[in-house]
Amino acid sequence: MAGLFDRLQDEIDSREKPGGLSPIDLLDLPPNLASVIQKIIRKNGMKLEEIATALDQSLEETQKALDELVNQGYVRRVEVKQELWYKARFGRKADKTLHQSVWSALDGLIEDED
Amino acid sequence: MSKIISIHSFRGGTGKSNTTANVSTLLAAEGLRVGVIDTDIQSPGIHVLFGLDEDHMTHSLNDYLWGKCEIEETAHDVTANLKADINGQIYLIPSSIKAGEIARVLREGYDVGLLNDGFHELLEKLELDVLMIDTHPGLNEETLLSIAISDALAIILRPDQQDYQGTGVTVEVARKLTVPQMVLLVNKVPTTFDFDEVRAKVEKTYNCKVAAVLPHSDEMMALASAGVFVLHYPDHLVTSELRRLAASLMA
Repeated sequence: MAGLFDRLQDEIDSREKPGGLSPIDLLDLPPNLASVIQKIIRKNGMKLEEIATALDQSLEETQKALDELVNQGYVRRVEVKQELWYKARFGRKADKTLHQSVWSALDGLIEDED
Repeated sequence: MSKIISIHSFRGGTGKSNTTANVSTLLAAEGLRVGVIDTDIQSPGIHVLFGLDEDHMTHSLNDYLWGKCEIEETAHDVTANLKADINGQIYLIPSSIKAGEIARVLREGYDVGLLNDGFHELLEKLELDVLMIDTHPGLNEETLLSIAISDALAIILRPDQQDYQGTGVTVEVARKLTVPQMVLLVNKVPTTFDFDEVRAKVEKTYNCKVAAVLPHSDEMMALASAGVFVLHYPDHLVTSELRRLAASLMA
């Protein structure tokens, strides 16, 4: 279901709300939220009814978990053909833990290939 | 219905890429359309097994993650490279092997959501039956994402104390991420070992099914990634165990 509009929306979202979900967060979320977001990620987007059915729980309970995930910035609402879908809102990954001197050397490589 | 399968190990050098390439080939030989994606962005390598060299790599996963192309444009049909009678199709999505591009993705990072979109778009646009994910060893963001979205996961370990401990962590993480189907593969087992004993011990340790126990193989070492083992040695014990693994992952 991801298309150009989706990606643009992702970009806008990430600028407006820094952070977003890291796959590592999946290990720290409480079970009721983790189960919801895991389903959404596996299908790359789901509707409320689908999630509730997949988890065998009530619509109210599912909606509450989704609202909490949206508030935490881990899930976003997307309208597809006038239907409301929920999709994971991932953050950007950058590994900047290397020592500065290593990055300087790597930057040299990047410039060489440009 | 299409399936996403991840091949993972906690430590490097366990045979992830070899296993991924062999299982993919076995599935394609059965007529399936198989995608193979190299998410080991830091140290890619599976392209070698499929005979794809740098000159023929038109686009890589890196290009997609930087928004330079669509994910399907990174898919290379490598079926003919295998020079074998294969009824299905194998599409390889390689990671870049250019030092500067590896450095850039480490430096600048990428949108993890885009990677997730890419997995699903590949299934749809290439009409795949299976998407095989070759992961980076250990636990990082790509690996966790791959595990989280997988319908089936194979964790590889060698009969080695360091592997045993790390595998315990990976199994625990996969259970927390509720992967629907998880199996273990014990690889490079010395032929002097009792394989049934190894299988029983590993299954008991992790409370997880061992789909296959592969002996250490001189033939595999001699092949040295110059091809896909199951095509060169169709009657070898390693091949029959890899068939068991493939069947287990598709069950």
